[in-house]
Amino acid sequence: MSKYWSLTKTFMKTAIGASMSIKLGGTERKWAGIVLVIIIAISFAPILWMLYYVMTDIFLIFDMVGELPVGVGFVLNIGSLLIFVFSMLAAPALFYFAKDVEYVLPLPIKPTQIIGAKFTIALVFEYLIAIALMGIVFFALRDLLPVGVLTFNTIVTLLALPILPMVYSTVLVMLLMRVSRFGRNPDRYTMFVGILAVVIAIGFSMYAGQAFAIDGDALVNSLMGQPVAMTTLNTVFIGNGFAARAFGADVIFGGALHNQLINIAIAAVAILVFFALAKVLYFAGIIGLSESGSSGKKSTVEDISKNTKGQSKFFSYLAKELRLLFRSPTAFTNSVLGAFLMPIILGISLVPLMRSGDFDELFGMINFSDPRTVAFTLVIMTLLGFFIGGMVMITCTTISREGKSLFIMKYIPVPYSTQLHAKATSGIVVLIPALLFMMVPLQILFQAPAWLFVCGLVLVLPGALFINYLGLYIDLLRPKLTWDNEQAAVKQNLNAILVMGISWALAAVIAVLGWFVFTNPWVAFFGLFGITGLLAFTAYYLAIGKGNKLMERLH
Amino acid sequence: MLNLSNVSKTYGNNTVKAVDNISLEVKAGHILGFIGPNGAGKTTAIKMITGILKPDEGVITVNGSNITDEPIAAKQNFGYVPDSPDMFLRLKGFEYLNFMGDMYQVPDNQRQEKITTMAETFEMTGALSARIQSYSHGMRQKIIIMGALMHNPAVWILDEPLTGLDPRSSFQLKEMMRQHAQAGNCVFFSTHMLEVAEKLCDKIALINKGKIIFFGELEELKDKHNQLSLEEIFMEVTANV
Repeated sequence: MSKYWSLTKTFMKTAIGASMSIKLGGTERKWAGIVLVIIIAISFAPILWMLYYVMTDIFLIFDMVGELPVGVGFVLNIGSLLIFVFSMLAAPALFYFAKDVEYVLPLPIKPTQIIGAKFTIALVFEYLIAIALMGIVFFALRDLLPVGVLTFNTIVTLLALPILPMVYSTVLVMLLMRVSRFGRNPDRYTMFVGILAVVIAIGFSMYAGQAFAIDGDALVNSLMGQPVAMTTLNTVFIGNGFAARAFGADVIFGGALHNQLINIAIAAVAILVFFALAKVLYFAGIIGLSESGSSGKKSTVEDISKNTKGQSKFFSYLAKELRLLFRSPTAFTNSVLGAFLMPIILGISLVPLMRSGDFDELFGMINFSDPRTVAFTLVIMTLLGFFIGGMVMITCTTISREGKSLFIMKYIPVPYSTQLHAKATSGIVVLIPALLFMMVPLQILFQAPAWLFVCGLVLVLPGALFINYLGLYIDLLRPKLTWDNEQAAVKQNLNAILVMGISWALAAVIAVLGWFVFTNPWVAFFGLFGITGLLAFTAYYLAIGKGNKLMERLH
Repeated sequence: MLNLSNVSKTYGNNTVKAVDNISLEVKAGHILGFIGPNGAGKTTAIKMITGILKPDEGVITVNGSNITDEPIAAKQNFGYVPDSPDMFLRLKGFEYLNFMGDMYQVPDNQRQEKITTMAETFEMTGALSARIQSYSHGMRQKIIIMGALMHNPAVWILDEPLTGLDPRSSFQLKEMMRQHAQAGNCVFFSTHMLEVAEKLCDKIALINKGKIIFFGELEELKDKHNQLSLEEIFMEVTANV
């Protein structure tokens, strides 16, 4: 096997190999990982289906005015932009933070072979997006173009599509790593791109909301007017223009072929330019990445005195938990950020409804002097506690995140109950602001009576606490302690899904009870408080009361 | 000060014992070198001494406290340096030391004095405000040693403490170990550096395949093996057992 292929296989294993397996019943199961990937892929099916319908409409309208290449070019440019963004997110982890390059540098391998192997892996990931996109394009165009030309164009465009955006993003990342100190801190960079990704997702959902609101004719008119954004994308992703023109041809020879040849030639030149630039930028940026060094500023006696203030074991442990949580990009973006962004995303999705006037109608129907409405409001608030509690995934991964460092919990002279209390409290510290962040805007919007809001706060808390302690208990029962990358402890942890599943099932039971039994406000309040309080107490007892025994079992 | 009596441990459903009925004692004023080949049971033994693992059989006491029955009191009596210093990487040096100070309830004045002295000794004063993540392997090792010794424990349990240390810091740590023992305390340390063990230790415990094959003074061991060096003795006894 050539060195290039051997390297590619090895890098691929370090990139995804370990994370494909999931621990079930104490054994790593690769099939479980594959099942999870399939479930995630299926969860994307509705979006792909929706995109298929939108594209079919767009292509049909452009075809009717004889400008199909403009429509195809628009879709290809959006696809290239998407690949560019994904590549910006993935490239640093693959090229720089994987920490595998420093081990192969001393081996007798050419730099181009290392770069080539890394580039190939990045390309494989981006092809997944390209396949999804071009698959939709193929089906959306199948009634408009002869099948031979369509198949030829789809395959060639698919091959070329990810290359240019990937070259742009990777070179940009290499430049960033070469010249700036910012990118050289993996945590800082991952945190930055993680937040950026969420912002882009929100921005995209806002844009999509507006795009679906306008009709197809308006989109055609807008694109035919050569908007600046589209002209810029046409220039940046220069190959897409030729690919789009090829889709306008009825035959391959004398029609699509020469445009696609230019498209492929552009991709090939891009790869050559990439290799030339990577040879200059990549290795100079990666050397010494893992050891950025300290400031070297000597701490004075005053510094030491200022920085060494004692506090109780519990508060010190809690502070440590929160520091590690907020400084870990994976834990922060997945366990904390989501809970605060969800109200914003929900708020944004409500904007079209508010504009349409339907909201005023809805407001008119709400009557807080009606006992049934009050009871129903209390049920909704209780369910909100479950919902937000499920979004804050801190305690359900808190033991897993310890990983190989779990032994520290065992040798420090601090009772397990104190440590587990501190871990549970780190969840509550985030949970309460997250609840208020959701509840206060709702209160401002719906103007419920103050007493009802207070009752709601009383009800929302036990549900959220239940999820918090349940998460800790489940993570104590089956923590994922063997991992190389923290993402495996947080993102690929089935405990979070398990907690979410249990909480949704219980929320459904409460919703049914709420609809059929809790029709009176007092019955609703005490009934809901009793149920959620009992659940919270049971979960607390399991996590903290049984925690000592469960901790002893772990090693 | 540190006592292991008939301690055994088996992992899971294994029939072979990782640690098989070991007994040893480290008295006040002594440094004990715990040596053995890879997979001999050193780490398992240390994990049981520090409370990370529970022994299946036997009793371990640290400064009079049984690690199984009175874990908090026993843990308060020792300072432990694990074999890998890659822990709490996202904390700053100061934050880590403070955390350890809080866990062992070290008074503020003792904490300041210890940090100042040890930071000078290990040349770490320029690194305390930086995250441990940015430290080299040796610096990480130093900060872990500082955290483990801050509460002035009577018993030091050090797992490969010299790995990654520069010559100056290595010398300083060995001096600290000597002084600690001379002050009436004890040091239990595992090492693969047999020359260090030969020069530093009052007693040697040699473990192989879970069993202690020698426990006693170095001279006693040498007398039994025609005054060979510790390295030669190690090669001989671990090959024959």
